[in-house]
Amino acid sequence: MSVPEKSLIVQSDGSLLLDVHSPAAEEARAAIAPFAELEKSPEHIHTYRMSPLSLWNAASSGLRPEDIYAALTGHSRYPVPENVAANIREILGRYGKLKLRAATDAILRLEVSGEAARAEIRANKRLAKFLRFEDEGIFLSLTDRGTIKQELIHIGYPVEDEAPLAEGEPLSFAFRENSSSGRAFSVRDYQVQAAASLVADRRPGTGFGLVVLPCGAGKTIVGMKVMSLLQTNTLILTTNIAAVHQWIDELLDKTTLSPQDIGEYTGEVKTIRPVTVATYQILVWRAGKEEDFPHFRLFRERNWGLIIYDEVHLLPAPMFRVTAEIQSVRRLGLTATLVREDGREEDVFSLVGPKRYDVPWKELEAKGWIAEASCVEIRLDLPEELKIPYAIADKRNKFRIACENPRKLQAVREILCNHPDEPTLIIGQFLNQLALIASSLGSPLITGKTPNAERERIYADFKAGRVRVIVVSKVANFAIDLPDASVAIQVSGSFGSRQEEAQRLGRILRPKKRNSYFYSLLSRYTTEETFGANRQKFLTEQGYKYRIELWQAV
Amino acid sequence: MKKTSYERWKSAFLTLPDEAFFDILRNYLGDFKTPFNKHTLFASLEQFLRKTETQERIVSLISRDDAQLLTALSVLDSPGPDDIYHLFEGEISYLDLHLRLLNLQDRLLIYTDKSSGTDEIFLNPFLEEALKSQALDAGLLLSCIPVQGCLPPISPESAVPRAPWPGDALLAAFLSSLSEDGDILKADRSLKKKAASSLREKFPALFRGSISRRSREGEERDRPALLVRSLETLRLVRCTGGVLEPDFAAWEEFAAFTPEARLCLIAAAGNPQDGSSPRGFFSVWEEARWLSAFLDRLEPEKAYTEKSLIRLGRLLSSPQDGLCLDSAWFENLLDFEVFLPYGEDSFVRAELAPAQDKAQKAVIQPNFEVSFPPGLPLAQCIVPAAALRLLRCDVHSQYELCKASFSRALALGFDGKTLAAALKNIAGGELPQNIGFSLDVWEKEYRSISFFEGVLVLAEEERRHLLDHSREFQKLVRLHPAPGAYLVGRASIPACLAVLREAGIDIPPGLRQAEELPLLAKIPKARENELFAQNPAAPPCGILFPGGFSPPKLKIPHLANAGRGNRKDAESRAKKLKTELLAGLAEADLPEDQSGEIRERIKNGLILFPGQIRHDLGRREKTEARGVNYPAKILIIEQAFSSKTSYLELIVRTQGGEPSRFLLRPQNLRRQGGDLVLEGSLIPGGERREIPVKKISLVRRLRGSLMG
Repeated sequence: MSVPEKSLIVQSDGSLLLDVHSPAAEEARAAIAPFAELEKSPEHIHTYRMSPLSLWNAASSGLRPEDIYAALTGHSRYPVPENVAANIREILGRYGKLKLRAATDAILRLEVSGEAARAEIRANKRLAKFLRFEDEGIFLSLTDRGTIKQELIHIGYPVEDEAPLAEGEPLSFAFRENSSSGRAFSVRDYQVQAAASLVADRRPGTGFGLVVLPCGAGKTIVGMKVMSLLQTNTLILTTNIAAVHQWIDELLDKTTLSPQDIGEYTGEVKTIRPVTVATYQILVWRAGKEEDFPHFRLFRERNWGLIIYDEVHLLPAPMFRVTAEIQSVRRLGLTATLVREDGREEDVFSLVGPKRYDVPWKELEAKGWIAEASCVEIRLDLPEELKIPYAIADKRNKFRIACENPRKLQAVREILCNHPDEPTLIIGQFLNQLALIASSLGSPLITGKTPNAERERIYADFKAGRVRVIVVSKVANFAIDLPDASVAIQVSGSFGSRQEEAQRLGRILRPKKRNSYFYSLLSRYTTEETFGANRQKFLTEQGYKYRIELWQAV
Repeated sequence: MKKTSYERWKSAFLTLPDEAFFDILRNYLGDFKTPFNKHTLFASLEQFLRKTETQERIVSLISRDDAQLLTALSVLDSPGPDDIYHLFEGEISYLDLHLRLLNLQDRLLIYTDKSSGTDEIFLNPFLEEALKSQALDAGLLLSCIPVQGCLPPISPESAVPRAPWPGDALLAAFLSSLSEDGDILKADRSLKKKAASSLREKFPALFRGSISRRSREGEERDRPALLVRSLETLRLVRCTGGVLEPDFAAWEEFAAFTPEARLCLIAAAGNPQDGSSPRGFFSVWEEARWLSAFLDRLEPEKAYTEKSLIRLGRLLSSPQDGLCLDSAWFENLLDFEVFLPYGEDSFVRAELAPAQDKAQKAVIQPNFEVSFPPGLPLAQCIVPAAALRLLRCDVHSQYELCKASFSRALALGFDGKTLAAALKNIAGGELPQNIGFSLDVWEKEYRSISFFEGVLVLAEEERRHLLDHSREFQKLVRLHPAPGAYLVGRASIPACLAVLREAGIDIPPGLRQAEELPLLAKIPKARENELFAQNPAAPPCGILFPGGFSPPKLKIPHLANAGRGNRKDAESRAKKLKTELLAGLAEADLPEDQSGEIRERIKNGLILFPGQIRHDLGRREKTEARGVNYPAKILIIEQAFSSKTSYLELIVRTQGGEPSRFLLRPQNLRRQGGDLVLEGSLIPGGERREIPVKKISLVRRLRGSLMG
């Protein structure tokens, strides 16, 4: 019997290539997942990367260099490059060198092992204003806890924060066995594990960190499970008002919390209750560039025992400042990706916490918790009458003409005919185009101007199956909950960011009996194809099946 | 025994000077009285040599150094002293070698045949069989040890434990990188800062020191410079205005060679020899062929010392080819990791491909990333390298396929179908649907608009027929994009004007400067035989490389029984015999001068039996004089003149006070002022020297040998 070929290729730059067709691939994936981040997962070879953060995340869960090296050598198809082992030792050697512990109620002690590290810290001017070097050790004020951790990680030293966390004001509630809508409800096993990995046994060094789950995997439930374990006043921060309402609905639907227990803190309403759900936008609002952030006071309004950062990769930069000040509160970051477009992953690590739990989306897809998605790009010719206007238009208008190609409406109709019974979202950027499509199809249109009540009524109809197709503008990028959509048709839109694209796709990844389809319509031989190429690259990197088809007008 | 060997030996022995002949006879057979018959004496010696016990005793006294020298004599074809010296050059002085050869002659192990006019050294035919079975050991010339276990990879990016850095993966990646941007050199041929930074990122193996150098503490040469020099010398790239341009036709031919041949070519082409300027192609070609043959002689699972490798190189070389592995060339081979260090002071051959039980294939992913596993044949990588953009050359080399890289390949003259086919071939299957679709779209876009430089000739409708029907004009037209529009080259303008005049249009249109329209871009094949124009003797088999890379048939020595390692037993036998003989000497109660002479002969292996220990064994005469003993120095020099075969070993103090030791064939002694000056020629080399006798701190006549 031949020995199955090993599946891992360890590159000298610390990236790990996983041959997913190898029989031993899943075993190798499980072995490397604790210390390497999945960077891309196209069809054949998935790329993981061992970065300082991923290794420190591993160290925080107790992994040692020899464990990591053994995992690599055990699964590597070729000899592991020498420098990789050396780098792992060097990076992990930094974890645990610095520890924060309580000295008094208001003072923390920074414990540093190693003369070199101590000398480097002492010589750093940015740290000098926060640290006091005394014979008994290095001390800092409790209020500088987050700032110090942030500064130290920037010079390559992660801090193990073992200073105690404050217990917030208690709040008693439980999960319902049946949701208020009458459906049976239970927390899934991976959601329980994710919550438990954060809360741990409340020993020093636990109670803060990130849970990474793919779109559609039920991160909200993980947040609620952590709340139920801690039974404390909780501040939930999320990306937009629709998401605020979703959180509130979910809490009311699945827990014994009453409306009187839950407050909304948004631009429209500002009620503060034992559980308060707020948007990032309202918190970082200020009257002028030089003004303070008045809504930061929300963090001090109650004795919060837990703060949940929903979509933590979108945490606005000013939020780091306030997060640095509330390091004694338990913190949970929920996200589908650790990647930040601004590259400030280190700040998330040091201020919110290390990754405590993640699960590959393939695993969830295999178990049926999220849907399998196919992406289809359809290219259409511009009609003859638009070719000259397109040729003479400036860059901006060229893009608009391409996006608003009227043939797209015919293509949309064909796609809808091919998916006659499936709930479908039509997503676009240009309102005129969307309005035309909506009116042609007789479908409701949701834009930024649609009142919340109207919007939620349409969502309700959509969920109930009374409406099969809805047309949405960029609001679809955000965390609205459309659980039954299985087809999305993107008729226009630039490739905004990896996150934006992931969010759009996330709309159709909810578990259901059928596969999901994500169509993108592009005008051929136009600038729209450039954006299409970015999207194509992103989606294929995520491992989605991707086809390109040429649409011929009949 | 072959009659010819016997007769040659007999002839050589009988033509020895009488003094040497009788000394030999006296040593082995005892004193003899006059009158004597030389042939009868010789027959007695022959009888003595035929005895098994004699042979056993002679062989038992062979030391490790003796055996090494005898082995060298056996593998070389009737060598002269210079040939043997050449083999051991750098390890042993000529003087010591000369003394050792004389000693082996005294011990009847070898003899010198002078009948051809030059000295040719042979093994004694009576002892040849015994020597072969008991003493000769190729392992003494070519010491090697078995390689145990797996070596660590030389380069962290290498998937193969013994792969050299200039392997196929790196070459393909470098080709791709140069195709994308060959503007990497400054005027002084060092790397431009930006290029160095980019190459460092993409080719970590080019900037990382090798284990060879760490172990030898030698100074490693800059790998990018080595590689560029090699590629240029092999005509795989051309430097035009500081920009390196790959020649894909040459790469195709180069890739057709075996990986071993390619490594030999690269290493030979990177060997600067006499400076930094690129070398002639054909000397590189011959050197690479020789190197390939040389490497073939090495066993893959054995590690060799540098001395052994150099000795083997010398054994394999002939004066005609002028090629011989020396320390400088060996350094160059280390630079290219043709040899890799093993243990303290040994080296193993590089290994060029990983052990594979299935064909390696590239992976082309729907996100346009392409991964080359190690072991992909270079030939399959060339066209894809033109169409891909290198991300990083690592264990798996990572590339991406993008519109820019694909268009670049189209601009080089490849067509889309060829490129797609090459990509399919390297991936071993169909391309992902979205990639196949994109390639079609990109090619259409590339071909949809073209730029040409030239002269556009426009003709009004009523005049077009003059041009359309002119055969002379049609010959000049490069492109006929539309009715009445003709593109011609700049050089064709006078001809166009002539056609127009001929057609009756004598008002010439305004002419503008224009570049000649280039031929449609194609992979350059036009360099056919350009290379060989420089060397008409070269076989024009390939376009750029001369035919197949067949290693030359080198004269291979008998290297069987290498390292059989029976020296320990032999040494103990020799020690035992000498102890017995010395005990016999002690019992003989001879005068001290005779006893000393015999002790010396026992030590030198000339005494085999206790019966040889006699008072009449040999003459004792003074053979050396030192320092201020001026008359003694003169006496020894004059004795050397009287013996035609004597050499003088001299130690002379140099101006710096350091002693200089050399061997001289004395030729004259003349007076100069208050001193005598010794004239003679140095051995080896024959350089003429004049040495004032007062400056000689030691003169020794090589009379320690019976043959001397």
